[in-house]
Amino acid sequence: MSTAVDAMSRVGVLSGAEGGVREAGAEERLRRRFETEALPHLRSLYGTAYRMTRNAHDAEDLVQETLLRAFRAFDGYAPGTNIRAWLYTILHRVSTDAFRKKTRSPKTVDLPEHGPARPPEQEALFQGGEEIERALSALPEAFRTAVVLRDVQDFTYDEIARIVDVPIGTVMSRIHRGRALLRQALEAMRPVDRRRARLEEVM
Amino acid sequence: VSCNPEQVTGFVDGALDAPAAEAVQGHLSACAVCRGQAAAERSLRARLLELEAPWPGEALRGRIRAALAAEPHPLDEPSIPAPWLLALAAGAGLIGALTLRAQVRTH
Repeated sequence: MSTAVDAMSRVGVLSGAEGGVREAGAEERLRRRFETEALPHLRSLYGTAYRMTRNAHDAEDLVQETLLRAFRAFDGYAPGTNIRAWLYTILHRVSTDAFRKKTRSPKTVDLPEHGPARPPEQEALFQGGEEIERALSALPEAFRTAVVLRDVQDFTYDEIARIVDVPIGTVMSRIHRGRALLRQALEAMRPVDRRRARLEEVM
Repeated sequence: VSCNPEQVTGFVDGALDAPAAEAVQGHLSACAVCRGQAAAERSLRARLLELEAPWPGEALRGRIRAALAAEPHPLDEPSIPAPWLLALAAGAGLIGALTLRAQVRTH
């Protein structure tokens, strides 16, 4: 039997204690490619994960699971194609299957008038734009996702349709509805005197 | 042409085909309400594009790198099915045995 094992290691069939099969150097090449092509998107993926889950802990889990899944599937990713859209497709899939149950909770439907929809300490994560972030986090999930992908991440309708796996018409309708709700929420957050000034302008 | 607010959104995003875009354009020149919507959506979009991504700190990048390093690589999975491995092992054994016999004969 030792002869057989010797022969197998000579033709490169055995590598390492687990006895897996691989081509020498290919693993390192793929790891390096993942590092240079996928990891630079971590920050934007996290931003989107945070806006989807509305809490830092779930966002970290979501983004980590997304990158692990992407890494496992990276062999099948065609180099030079749209890696950003590919990563976001995985992010969306992970968030809809594994995280849906976890993130669905009554605390996430707070209205802007009732204060922030996330715990106060999370505010520190934002560099600015608290008002708009608060309004965004109060949007229903499907509209929020569409608006974040379009207006924060600047994806095209075509890309969003593929990421979320819905027809383009649905993408347009969700973006439309999401923006309308967002404008309403922002209007409601305006200081009263500014609203009164506008009212006086009109009258 | 009557108002179609969804189409106005598509127009703002440059997502309509040429005939639809032309129709919205024509409508906008005649409808102040839809012009207002288009302007409001453009300025909202500009604000959203400027938003800074929330970021918990570089420790997250380190944790993810560690998780990736611990992940067995996709190429590590045995891609040759088990029966193949057995056949290969048997073949190698046969070659080994033949070599041994050949060596014995020469001696």
